[in-house]
Amino acid sequence: MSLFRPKEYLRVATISEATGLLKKYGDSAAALAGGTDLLVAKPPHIEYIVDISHLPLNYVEHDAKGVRIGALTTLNEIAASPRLKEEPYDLIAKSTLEMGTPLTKNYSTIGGNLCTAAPSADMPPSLMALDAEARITGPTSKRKVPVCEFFAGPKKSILKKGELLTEIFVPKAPAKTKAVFMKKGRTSEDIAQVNAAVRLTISGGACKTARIILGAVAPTPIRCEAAETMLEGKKLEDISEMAEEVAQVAANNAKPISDIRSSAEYRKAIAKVLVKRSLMCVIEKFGGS
Amino acid sequence: MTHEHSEFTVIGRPLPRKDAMEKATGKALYPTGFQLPGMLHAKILRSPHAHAEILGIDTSKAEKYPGVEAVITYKDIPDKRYGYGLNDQPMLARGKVRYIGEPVAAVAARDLDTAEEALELIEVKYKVLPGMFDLEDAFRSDTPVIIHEDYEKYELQFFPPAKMDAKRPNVANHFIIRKGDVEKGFKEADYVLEGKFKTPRQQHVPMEPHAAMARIENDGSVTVWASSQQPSLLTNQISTLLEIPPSKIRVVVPYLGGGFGNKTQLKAEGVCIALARKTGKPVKCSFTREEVNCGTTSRGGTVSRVKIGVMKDGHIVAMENEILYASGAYSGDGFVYSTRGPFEAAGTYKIPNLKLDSYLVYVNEPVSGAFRGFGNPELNWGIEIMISQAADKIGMDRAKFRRMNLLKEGDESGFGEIMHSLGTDVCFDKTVKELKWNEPLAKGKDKWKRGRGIALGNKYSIAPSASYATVKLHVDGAIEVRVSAIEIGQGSNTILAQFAAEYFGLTLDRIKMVVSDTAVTPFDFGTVSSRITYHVGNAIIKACEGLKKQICELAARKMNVKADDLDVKGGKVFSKHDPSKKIDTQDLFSPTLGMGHIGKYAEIGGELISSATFFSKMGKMDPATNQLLNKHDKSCSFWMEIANGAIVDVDIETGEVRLRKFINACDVGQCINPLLVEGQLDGGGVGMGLGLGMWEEMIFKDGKIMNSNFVDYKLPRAADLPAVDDTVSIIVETPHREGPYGAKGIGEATMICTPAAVADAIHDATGVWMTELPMTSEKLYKLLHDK
Amino acid sequence: MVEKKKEQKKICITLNVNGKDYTGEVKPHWTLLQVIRDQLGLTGTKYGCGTGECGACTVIMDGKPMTSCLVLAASAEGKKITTIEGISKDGLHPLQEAFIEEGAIQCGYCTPGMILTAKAFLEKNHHPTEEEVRRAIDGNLCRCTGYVKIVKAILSASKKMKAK
Repeated sequence: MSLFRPKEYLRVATISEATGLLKKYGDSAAALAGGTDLLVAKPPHIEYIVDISHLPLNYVEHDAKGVRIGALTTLNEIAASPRLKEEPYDLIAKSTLEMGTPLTKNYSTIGGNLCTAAPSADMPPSLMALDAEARITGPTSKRKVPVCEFFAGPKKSILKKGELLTEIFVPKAPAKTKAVFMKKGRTSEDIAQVNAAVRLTISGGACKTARIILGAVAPTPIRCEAAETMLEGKKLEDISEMAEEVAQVAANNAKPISDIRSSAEYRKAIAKVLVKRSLMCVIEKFGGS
Repeated sequence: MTHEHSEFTVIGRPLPRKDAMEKATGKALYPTGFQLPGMLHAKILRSPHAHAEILGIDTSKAEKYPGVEAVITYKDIPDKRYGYGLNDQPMLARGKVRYIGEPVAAVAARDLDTAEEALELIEVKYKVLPGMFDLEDAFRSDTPVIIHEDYEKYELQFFPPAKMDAKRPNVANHFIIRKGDVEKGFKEADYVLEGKFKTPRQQHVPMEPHAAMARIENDGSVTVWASSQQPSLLTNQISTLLEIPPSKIRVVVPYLGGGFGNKTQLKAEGVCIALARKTGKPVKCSFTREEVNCGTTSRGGTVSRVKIGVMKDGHIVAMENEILYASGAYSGDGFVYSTRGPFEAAGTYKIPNLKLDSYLVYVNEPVSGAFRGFGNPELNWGIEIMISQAADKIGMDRAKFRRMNLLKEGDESGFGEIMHSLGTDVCFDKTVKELKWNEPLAKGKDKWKRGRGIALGNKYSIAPSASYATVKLHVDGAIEVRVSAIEIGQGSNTILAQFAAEYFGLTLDRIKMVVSDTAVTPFDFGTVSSRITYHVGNAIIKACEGLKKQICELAARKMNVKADDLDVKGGKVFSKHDPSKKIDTQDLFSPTLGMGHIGKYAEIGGELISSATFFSKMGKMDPATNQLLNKHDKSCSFWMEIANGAIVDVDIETGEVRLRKFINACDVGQCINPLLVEGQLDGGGVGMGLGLGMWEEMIFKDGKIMNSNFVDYKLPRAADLPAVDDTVSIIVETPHREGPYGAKGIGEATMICTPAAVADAIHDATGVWMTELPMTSEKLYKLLHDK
Repeated sequence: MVEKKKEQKKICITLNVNGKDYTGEVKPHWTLLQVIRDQLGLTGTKYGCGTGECGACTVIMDGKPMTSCLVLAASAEGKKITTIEGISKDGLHPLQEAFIEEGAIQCGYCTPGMILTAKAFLEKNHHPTEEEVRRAIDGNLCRCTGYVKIVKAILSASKKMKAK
């Protein structure tokens, strides 16, 4: 049958109930959080809907160690959170602005965005730029995985049967860290043709840490390490001069496909433009011109 | 902005709509909302193949599925076809399927889930055939795939009939215009320029999908609640397909959640009726959004060539057009729009030598149909770009070039008729003024390069066509208007009530509209071609004249005066030469034989009710040239003229275009209700026109729609469009000498030249001409960066 | 051989809609939209696309507007749901008045969803700019108006609601 006709709807009250059911039913179970991916896809092989939307995983906490975001925090809650107003964490809030619609973002969750693992997802690049970590709870154990390593392939995360993504941890950013997220879509709200996040941490007038992340140009969001290396140790004025070159090296990392949203060539060209513009924007945030 | 004229009390006023309250509170009824007790739910099984022979259909498993009450295929219905002038389309596929989405079978079940599940149990064996998807390949005389082998046997119902091209087996129609001598014109011209253009398939996306519900009455007649803009056409199509006499068919149309031409022909109705007959129960069928995309109609794609010859002094000497309209697998409304879209070349500019060839071409894709503009926007696209290119070639300002070539009062159109009631120059001048065309343009900020553009267009309203109206006086003095005009959102219920209110000097709330129920309301050609205001308005005025005559005759007896001394206004009948002699219209009715509790009646003549026909003629044309034999005759009911202006910002590095300002000026004749006309200008221009220009495209691969959802079929959203203050809708009024109180129409005119205005602005900003719609950022990027 | 219907476990739920409780059985895959329309007979909420992109099915749930086609009926238990039928007890809501006055309604199909989105938005943002209004209704498609008079109506209503 090609129709969505699950046998059973199950609402859980605890994380261990959830992981237990997800382990028990394996591939024929689906976790229902916001529902904005699941109920569009309506996968016919799903027999058990495990409604996790009432679990206590909706929070944004900010302490000395960093920021913790519960996996069930909705995108609109993230956009409005007073704890995500400070730089560079505001990057996470800004990443939500051109996703979905203002309505679906009342239900779509940050956890859902990561677990659906679309190559064009808008949350991962910003999280990866800030060295965020995915915290996962299974039926019998917990583990932590850098968001950079969370994605296995298009629409595939590294979650095993029975595991639930429960929290995203963003470590306290070093002083003098600025970051920018940019996206190119076809209209005001769209699935990204290309998205990019760029972060620089400056120390002693020079770049200590650089992160250049590109999305929608590979099977998963990618770090452009060769381009990042070019920036390490450079002064801001120098980065300004070499932005075009760095952007080209980053774009060379891109291995996009052609689909109905964009050709591969256009994605490559835009990847370069977004990285260059993001770099210039970060420099401007530091007060450079 | 007021359009009130001192001589009118109701006409020209921005009155709120009669249906606004029920729509604002969610109470308004639409076809998707109807339910009847004991109703069954129908679902249609659709072809997964673009072109295939049907080898066999086995419905036995589906018939036995618990909750299923009937399954139908072609075997359950007469072997008949329907269409819009060319009857080539079966209700359920017979022998062959020709597009992905074509209905093959249908199920009626006790609930929707069961109907969906039962569809999966119907087994159809297909032999897949090669498909034809490319419009230009389909057009070739040596085309490898012929889609309608039996074309010659199809019934034709249009005058003039379809002209097939014996050399081109996939061409369903060929329409020509031959005016003057283009070869001579091109020889005389100082410059000759040529271009090739493409427009995509665009889906109407009415917010409400189609739905129908049918019930067989105890006497065997049929009542169908339909998503139909043309109840008379639908009655005819049901009658043809299911062999039911028209007098036994009742079509009821409540409010429609958008039409735009998508709801002209039979869609779900036939299946509902056939299943209702088989089960003896009411049957409802509601389309999903995906079914609207593949199972209804859309604007067909086009490929066109425009060649233009101009003199150094700025005069256009000759124009040659060739346009291929993709019909989809059946002719749909394409038969008519391939004959009428060409009007675009005939109605704006003075072109002494004009040669046009328009072709309707079959391809194995869903059916193309009527869509706001009806073939005009597609042709306008190429013409307006070539007009601008010609101006640039001779070094003349693009606005000045257009102005000097405009058709003026008394000039001959491309069909040879004498044009009148034209407001093109006013539309043009106001647009130019709003654009500050003759002042330097402010530069764009940061990464944005700014440009400014202008385009002109025209839209006719189809002839021949006819509308009836019936008006009645109620015992309480209210006036009832019965028409088969469909309220698709354009405001017809309000506008038409305004005519009756104006005529009888009443306020709008005293007019009762009874619409679109063929048990009660009379014939109408249809709510298409921007024709309702003009045709039904005229019919209402004529009917009101008849009603007034009856009122005066009855009043004359009661008042003991001559009938022609009387007039009727504001609920009173009064003597023209002594207005103090008056009675209330309510007093025309007498209590029933002295027993007032049974109600009142008119003592003679039966009901105070009058009907009228308004008919628009089309003059005879020479079939060899499609030039009017008599230039004082008309090629259409009336012409609407439009000017659009646009200011855009372009990001050269990405090809992204942002619209900063948009102007839509249209000549509507006398404006009946400026609030409603502005609504049309806003929605048609900035909504749909920009959609076609910038983002909308149904993307096909081998006949399958790849973007059958709103994630990838990109519609303009509120944040994509310019600010309210930067969206300028201009109502131009050039009263039409035959229009009701001088009115014309508006709906379709609003999006004729929008894409061309934006393309003109993009060229101004970048020096690059876009020739293919939609003008996506990727396409512009390629033109800017490919060496 | 007769194909059997697949067994699906129905759930008994209570939905709170416009201040009233409705109890009934739903199948696991039934959406809130179809239950509101087909079971409760409240047809003001509309089906437009079924994939959360058009906003015609917008309802307000615990103060937040959401596309009900993407909410499972079973998971909506315990939420306070408002549909267009429930936004005004006496007379019209200022938004309904503004939509009527400004000519922001044409076919009317998007209107209920649009008004609910605007209502939730204006209750949080009392002084919106035009840009903020456009962003707020970006999830509600309208094919008739080009959004022009809708934006005007929402801005006009915001002044009325502020005044109250």
